[in-house]
Amino acid sequence: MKKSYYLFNPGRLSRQNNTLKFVPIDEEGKEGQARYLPVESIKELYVFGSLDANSALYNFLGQQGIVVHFFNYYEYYTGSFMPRDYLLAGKVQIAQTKTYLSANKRLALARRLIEGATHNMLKNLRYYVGRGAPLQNPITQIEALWQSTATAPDIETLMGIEGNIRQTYYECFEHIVSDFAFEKRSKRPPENELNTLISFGNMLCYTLCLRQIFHTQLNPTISFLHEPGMRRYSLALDLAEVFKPLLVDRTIFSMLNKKILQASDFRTELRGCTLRPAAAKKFVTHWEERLQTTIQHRTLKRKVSYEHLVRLECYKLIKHVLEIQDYKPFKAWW
Amino acid sequence: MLYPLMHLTATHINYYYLCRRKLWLFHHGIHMEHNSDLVHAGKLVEEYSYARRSECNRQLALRARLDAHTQLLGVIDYFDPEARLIHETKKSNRKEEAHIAQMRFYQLLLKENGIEDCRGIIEYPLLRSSTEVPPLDATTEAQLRQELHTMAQMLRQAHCPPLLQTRWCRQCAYYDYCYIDEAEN
Ligand code: SF4
Repeated sequence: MKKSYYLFNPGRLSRQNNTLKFVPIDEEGKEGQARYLPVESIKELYVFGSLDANSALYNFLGQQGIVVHFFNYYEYYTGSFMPRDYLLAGKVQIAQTKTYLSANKRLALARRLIEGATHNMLKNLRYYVGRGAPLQNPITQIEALWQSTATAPDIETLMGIEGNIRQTYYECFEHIVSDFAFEKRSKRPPENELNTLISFGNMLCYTLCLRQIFHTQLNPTISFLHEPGMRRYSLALDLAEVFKPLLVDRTIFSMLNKKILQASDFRTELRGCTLRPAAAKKFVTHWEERLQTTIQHRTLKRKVSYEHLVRLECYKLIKHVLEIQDYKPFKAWW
Repeated sequence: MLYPLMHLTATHINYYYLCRRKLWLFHHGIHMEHNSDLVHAGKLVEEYSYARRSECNRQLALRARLDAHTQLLGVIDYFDPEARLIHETKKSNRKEEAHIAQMRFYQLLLKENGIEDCRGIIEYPLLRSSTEVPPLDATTEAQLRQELHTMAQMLRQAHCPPLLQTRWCRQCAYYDYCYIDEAEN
């Protein structure tokens, strides 16, 4: 089975026939033991350390359909190398563009995406209410905010409400995990541990959605909830909204509550709070495990991985824009 | 109304027999095959069987007009001009009528290019069996042409045909695409 590879150490990556050769290079410039990655085993690459590679390598990765995501020293996502779209279909692109251009259709679809996101956030909160967390008020607030989307006249209003929902939701985190305060959402840079984890997880979720979109006929730059151009691939932001509560937030809760991550795993400096490299490794290990977790799907009547749920969401969007079937967002049922 | 030229291939014929929805999706560029192991196994059978045929390249790419708006395109993987024999290799004979229709499509392409009276043989190496398809006669040709017209018409329609809902769906590369839905909570 194909895997995502995370390159944390700086080094040099090159092609050797159908294998990639990675040579780590330490701070003094000394080369370490080479690792070989068979190209057919690579789903995508995450590059955290500085990487030395030539265009021949990128041409090869492009041919193989391997996406490469880059992160800077602060584990902040800086961009992706995307191979040429290999599945784009004129029919789907046109339909997707038409849906975007029609104010009504776009608004209705954007609201559906928020519906999924809200449901999945409430699902998480209700679980912790069941375990005694004092979250009844924020739940009521979020429900009221969701109700108010029904009369939102435009995307900006909808995005504003969505922002409030998410703010209220994030403020609940400190009642779900012990030992860490949330304060407020801070991004560039995140100012405390919870914000650091949220940012890191959200970036992973964005790249996951991007890869799944890439393997379908959808154009990742045409989005409905987010304004195209907010990021290069804004459709990945749309999808990530729906999946962050299940994939990112549950990973954070479980890692903090089981004390897999602790205060010592973070480094707080002038430039904000970052994960120590060993902690980032732990996080991606748990992230990958979560993506491979399976669930019996209620309409497909077979087991699907959490990762595949994102692909299925892409199929739903294609059917929606082609007017084969109206989009109903993914709602976690467990 | 003026239509752009439509291309129909042997894959179209094959899908037409399997499922019209699949045909419609395929025709409009919604491809799933890259992530289906079943199709991959099919490709291996093909490659393996060809490796054993040591002769020179007998591949033949052909085109012909069905009507003013429709062009037929086909690649015959193995054609023996002396014997006027078309070879096709398939993994299973589950949908043999689709394979036969595909063979007739090649026969029509050859005929339109001036090579008449070709026989076809469909080989099933995994089953160690084969099926022979006699040369086109007036009836089979008329029937095939009719099917091609129906197909072209169907593909020009904006709407995707409904789910087939047979037990074959489970093994279809489009299964997830067709059946994904949200159950009510
Ligand atoms: S899953 Fe069923 S309905 Fe869908 S394309 Fe395949 S055979 Fe046709």
